[in-house]
Amino acid sequence: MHKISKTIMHVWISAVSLGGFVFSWVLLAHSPKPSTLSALVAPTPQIVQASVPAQPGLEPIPSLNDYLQPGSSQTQTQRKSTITVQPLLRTRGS
Amino acid sequence: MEFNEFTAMNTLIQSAAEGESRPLQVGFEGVRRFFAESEARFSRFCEDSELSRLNRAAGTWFQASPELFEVVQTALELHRLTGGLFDPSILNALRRAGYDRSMDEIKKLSALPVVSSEKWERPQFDKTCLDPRRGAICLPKGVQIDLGGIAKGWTASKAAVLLSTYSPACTVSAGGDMMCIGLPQGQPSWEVALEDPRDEQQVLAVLKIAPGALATTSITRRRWLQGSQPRHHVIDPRRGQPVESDWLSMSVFAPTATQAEAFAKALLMLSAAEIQAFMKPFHQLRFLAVDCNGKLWGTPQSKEIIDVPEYAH
Repeated sequence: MHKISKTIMHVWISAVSLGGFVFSWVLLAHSPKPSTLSALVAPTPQIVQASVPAQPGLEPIPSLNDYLQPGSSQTQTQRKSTITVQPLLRTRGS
Repeated sequence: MEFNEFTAMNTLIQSAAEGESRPLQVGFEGVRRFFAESEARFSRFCEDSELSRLNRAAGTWFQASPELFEVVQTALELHRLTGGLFDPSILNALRRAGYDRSMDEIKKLSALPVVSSEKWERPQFDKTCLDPRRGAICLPKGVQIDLGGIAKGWTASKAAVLLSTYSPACTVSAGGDMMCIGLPQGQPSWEVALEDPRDEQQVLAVLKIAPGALATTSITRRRWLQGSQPRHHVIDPRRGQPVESDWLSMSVFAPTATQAEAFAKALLMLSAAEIQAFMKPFHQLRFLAVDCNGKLWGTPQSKEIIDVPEYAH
């Protein structure tokens, strides 16, 4: 009787471990992927400030370029898609 | 929203308006005619223009049209308001820098001849006399004015008012100096792309503009060589030379297009620290400066007119 309950215990522990592993694997496989857009988020403001000359009295304002990661293969594609949704009106130096 | 484009005053004119198509076409045609009239009146390259006749009459009273009188009067007010930084009496300096013919003609030449550099004596535009009763103007002797930028802003403003009789929401832009009336249906603002002054194919930011005016001045447009020296069209009236600026372009949002144009020119001549002090009395104005790296600079209020892409939140 003691031997039988030990065997049942072993089987039960093995089944629970295997089931937990499979459950976790399925859960991870179906969890949301990290957003591809997160790769396009700009460097931190501190990095932006450090990479440009200081302009005492004024503060840096984010531009579209700050949200594109230089060197990324997606940069140009993303930039183009950004511009296509932009308005037809433009301001430039007259 | 319907769009219309044509070239006048040596620049691209863009109109956009909401409403029924047929009346809008009449409105767009009115805008085109108005720009043609303004070009004929304010061009300094046409000997017969009213502006050229005013310049030839410097030192005597000149009977002006209501339109020329209004633009000169506005220019004088903005000259005083900007402490002289906005100054249309730089025409002789522009000519000396080589800009003595239209930009289309300049572009055909590889380089312009160097003109002997005499000492710059600043013209006294603030001594200009106006007689509102007669609509007459007296430029001081020797003063020659160029109304290029301010005339474009003034014309865009008036044309937008004209177009607004056909549309509740419309905008007219002369090379980016634009006046917006009303708001597009369901939209909280007008969206305007700010071009990168280093590459006109690229956009630096999307500006969110309330009803009012926006103007951009840049030292990377209208450039040429004089001898071996690079020149551009924004003259510093204090030195009589093309401005040596910390900025490649300056955009200003203001209640009127003439104010936006004058302040964009004035701010382009100032350093960051000077801009901060200069702008203190002008609470209604917003500006964005672009430095040589293509970086945008401003004050906390500047962020009110710029859109941050959604994916940045």
